[in-house]
Formats: sequence, C-alpha cells, structure tokens
Amino acid sequence: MTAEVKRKFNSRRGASVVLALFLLLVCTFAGTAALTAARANVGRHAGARDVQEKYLSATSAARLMIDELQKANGKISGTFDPTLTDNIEFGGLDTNSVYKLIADDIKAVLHNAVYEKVKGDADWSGFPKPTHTFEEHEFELRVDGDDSFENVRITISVGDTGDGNGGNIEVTSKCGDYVYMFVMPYNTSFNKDTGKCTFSATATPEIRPPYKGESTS
Amino acid sequence: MKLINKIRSRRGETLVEMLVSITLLVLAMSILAAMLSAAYNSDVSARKMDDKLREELSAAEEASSAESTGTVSIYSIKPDGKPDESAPDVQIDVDVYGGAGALRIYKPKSTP
Repeated sequence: MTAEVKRKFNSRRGASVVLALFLLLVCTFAGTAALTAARANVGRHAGARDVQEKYLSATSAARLMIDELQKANGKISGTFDPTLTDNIEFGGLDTNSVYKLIADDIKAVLHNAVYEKVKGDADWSGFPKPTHTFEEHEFELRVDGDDSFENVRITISVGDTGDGNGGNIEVTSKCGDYVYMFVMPYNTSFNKDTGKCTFSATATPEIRPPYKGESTS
Repeated sequence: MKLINKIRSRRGETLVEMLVSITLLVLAMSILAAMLSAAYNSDVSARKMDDKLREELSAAEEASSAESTGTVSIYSIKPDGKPDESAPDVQIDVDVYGGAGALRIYKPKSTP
C-alpha cells in the first residue's frame, strides 16, 4: 500500500488534471468569498430599514413629548405665602396634558424655587423646606391602530439647579436599541410681593447623549 | 524540480487528460463567473435598497403636508415594568407624514 502511494506521488502523469482541479478549487473559493461579502452587504442594508423605523419612532415620540411639555410654559404657577403648609394652588393644568403627568415634580420645582429665594428672609422664616424627591417617570407611547410605528418607552426626569432659577427636564426616548435624549431647560420666576412663582419653558430643547443609532437586529 | 522536468519533458498529455483538464477549467471559470455575477447583482440591489431608504427618510422628514392623522396614547409604566393597560393617561392627536408602506414620522397636530 505504501509503495503504491509512493508511486502515485512520484508519478508524472495527471499533472494537468491536478492543476485544473486546483484552479477549480481556487475559483470556487474566490467566488464564494465574493458572494458571501455581497450577501452580507444586502443583509446590512435590509437591517438599515429596521434601524430607521426605530429611529423615526423614537425621535417622533421624543419631539412630541417635548412639544407637549413646552405647552406648560406660563400655564403653571403657584401662589405662595410665608405660612404655606400644603395648600398650593395651580392654575391652567390641562387634564389631558403630558405635563399633568409630572405635575408633582413641577410643583416641587416651584416650591424649591420659592424656598431658595426667600431663604434668610425674616418674613418668610416659617416657609417649609421642600422635601420632594425627584424620580424618573416612565411611559409607553403607542400610535393607536398603526402597526408601522413601534411602541416607544419614554423616561422623563425633572431636575433643578438648586439656586431657584430653573433646571432641566430630560426626555429619553427608547425604541429597541435606539436611544434618543432631549434636554429642555426651564426657568422659574418668583415675585415676593405677590407670592407668585411661574414655570416657563421657552428655550429650545437640545439633543444630548446618550444617543445611540444602532440596532442588534 | 519535478515541475521543471515536467515542463521540459517532450512527452505530451493524453487526449483524455487534456479533455478532463479543459472541462475542469471551463467549469471553474463558469462557477467563478456565475458567482461574481450574483455578487454584482446583490450589490446593485443593495444600492437600490439604500437609495430608496434615503429617499423615504428625507421624504418623511421634510414632508410639509400630513398624509393622515392618528392618536398617540401614553401609558404609565407600572412598578413591574409593564404598561398600565387599563386606560391611557393621555391621548394626543398627531399628523402622520410619509406614505403607506414607506418610512413615516408623526408630529403634534398642527392647529389650523
């Protein structure tokens, strides 16, 4: 058997067939590589549509929420007095509004703002220190009866700068692996004579990190 | 060394060997050509897909008139991480931009 194999190896016959077979192998490999690369490219482009749908759903939802939150501009105000306990009155709070969903936070923002402005004032010495803790509010947005838009998770968090002048409302929109974040600055103004503190959100929202436009699909 | 000897050899190949070799060469070239052609076609279709996607995206983002209207419902998320399905907290009317089957966006309903 070994002698037969040795003879085959040393034989000079059939070299052209071997070379042709080798070329066939090379051509098959080269063709397969080109085809695999092309197929992967098509797959990537097909996945891009899914990413764009998520991107549009996430940005539409975030912009809608920001637009709705901006409607709170000038509509929310509280009238405070030095003996305030828990009877804050708020005007213009639309029952079907997004800012209604974070009303407690906005009330706390006004309370904080007043507290910061009257701190150290003898007339307001009895004004209670705010105790509210700001927490994230999470929602799901659905376009009724339209499956072409994916459901989007929205997180709203309200924060203030601690100086009584305002702060930021962060709106994070998440659709699949797509995350989009808007930051909307707001201001508070307080008139000590009338005791009126007003919430305003006139500044243009900014897009901030985290921003991720990728999909694992 | 064997290859050099083979090249210098005056002995030719048999007719069967040559026919088999030529057949294999033709087969190899055919396979390569077919695969390259398929790869090219895939590339062309990927480009078309990409162009269509970009057109749809810019059409949706730059659309000035709404194609249809809809309602967005907002549900609070319960502590277990699931939306409270009992009733939406807020419902907002929206304008939908972009044609059916294409990429679409929605914006708050414009007031007339």
